[in-house]
Amino acid sequence: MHLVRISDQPDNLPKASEALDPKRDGDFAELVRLHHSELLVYARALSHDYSTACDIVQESFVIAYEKVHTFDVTRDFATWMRGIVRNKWREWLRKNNRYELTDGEIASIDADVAAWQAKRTEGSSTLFDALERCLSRLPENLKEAVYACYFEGRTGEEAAEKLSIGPAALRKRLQRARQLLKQCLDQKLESPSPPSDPIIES
Amino acid sequence: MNPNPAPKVPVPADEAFIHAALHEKARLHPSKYDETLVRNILLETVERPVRAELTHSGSREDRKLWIIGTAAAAAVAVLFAGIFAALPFRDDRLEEEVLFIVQHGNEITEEETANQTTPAPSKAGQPYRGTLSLTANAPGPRASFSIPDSDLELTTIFGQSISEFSPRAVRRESFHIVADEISIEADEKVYTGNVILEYGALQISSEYVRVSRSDHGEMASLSGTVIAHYVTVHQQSPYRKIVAERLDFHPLTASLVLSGIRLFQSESEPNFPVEGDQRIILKNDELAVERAPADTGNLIKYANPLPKENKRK
Repeated sequence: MHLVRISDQPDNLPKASEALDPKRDGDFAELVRLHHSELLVYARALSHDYSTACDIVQESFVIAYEKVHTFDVTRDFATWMRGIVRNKWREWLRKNNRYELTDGEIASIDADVAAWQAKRTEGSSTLFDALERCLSRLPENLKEAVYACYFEGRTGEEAAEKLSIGPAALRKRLQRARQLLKQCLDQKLESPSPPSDPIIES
Repeated sequence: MNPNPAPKVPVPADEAFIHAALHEKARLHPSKYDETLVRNILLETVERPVRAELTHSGSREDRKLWIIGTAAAAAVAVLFAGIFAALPFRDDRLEEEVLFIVQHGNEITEEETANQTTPAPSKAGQPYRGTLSLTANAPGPRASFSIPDSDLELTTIFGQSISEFSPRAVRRESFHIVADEISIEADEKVYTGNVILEYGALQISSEYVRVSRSDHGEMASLSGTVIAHYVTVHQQSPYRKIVAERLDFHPLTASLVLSGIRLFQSESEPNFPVEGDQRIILKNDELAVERAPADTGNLIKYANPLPKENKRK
């Protein structure tokens, strides 16, 4: 048995997800590699917690593997997996008495992840690649806020102090950055090669 | 990198996806994949070792037949395992059982017991007039390991002083190891490639595991008889998951020492404070945390390579 290191795989390798049969072990392993990132983002968007998201995704793939005989090959594997992740998250909610999301909110998150899973299935660039390109196009003040909070792991107060702005202004910048990044990603979904000029704040 | 960086304020649902994607991108940076997660999923799915599931037979006769059949199958399996273990290369996964026997003192045979003579009682109250020696006559606890090539049995025998207290205590610590490759290097057996160790209720995955084959009988060889690098330890009940840079197994204390902690998740200890420079010690179901000793032993000082004349100039 030989485990292929994921980082060794070329990113642009075309992966026809539809041609993969999860009932075959080799194909199942390929599907794990193909879908785990987006499912991790999905679970994290639902649970707001990194370790919970990891557990949910891991348990979901284990359940999928155990129940793979029930999977209809004519169905979409990504959709099936999102359903399992959602059920595991609901189970976690019940156990931990956490906040609930409305159906509309879940649908909104679900749609965002579904779009990227579909794109990934076609063999296009990953969500993280697209996100990196969109980040590079953000206005400098918003980019600084994103890097300070998300990439440098600073608290809101620390980031605000570093950028010499108030916490409220920082929150506003982060909100604006997320909105612009979403717009940029949506454009990338529609067009394979969007313009590379900076995003203009409206 | 903090896996859960700020901000903590919940974001609106329409931003939740970007928010989570930014978090994940930052956490995995510069990689785009969570290799640990993928490895763990594969270990629990397509690469999970096949285990024989015991089934209960209805009647006593059926059960008897089942036991005979199982025993015969096991004997055949052991025979084949022995044959295949002797081969240098194989395509499929290799499995081995490593057994540590920790023995306190030597067992006393019936013959030895019969030959033992009881000294005659001496008169009490005679003061001792010789010189007092402050050196202990009995040797300190000693241990020796040996791994016979055939069955990989490691034996630890304590010296005389321990045997005074516990003449016949014998403890067995068994590891089941599955790996892609096994090689022998000097005094060690090295297991590489998707190594899975099963020790009691713990399942440990690693890429590189060394089992010491030292038979020098020195105390120094007591530490690190099993050393695994970049390990993920899973325990089902109570649920625990620990990712660490190194694992050491100490057969004397039957404890697993994990250092370089990367991740600690526990159902029963959700708020257990574990930092990277601390060590986790697992023994049976118990868990303890201690600060790692300062690493001064590996400090190497080099002499100035310049000749003294040059130094003076």
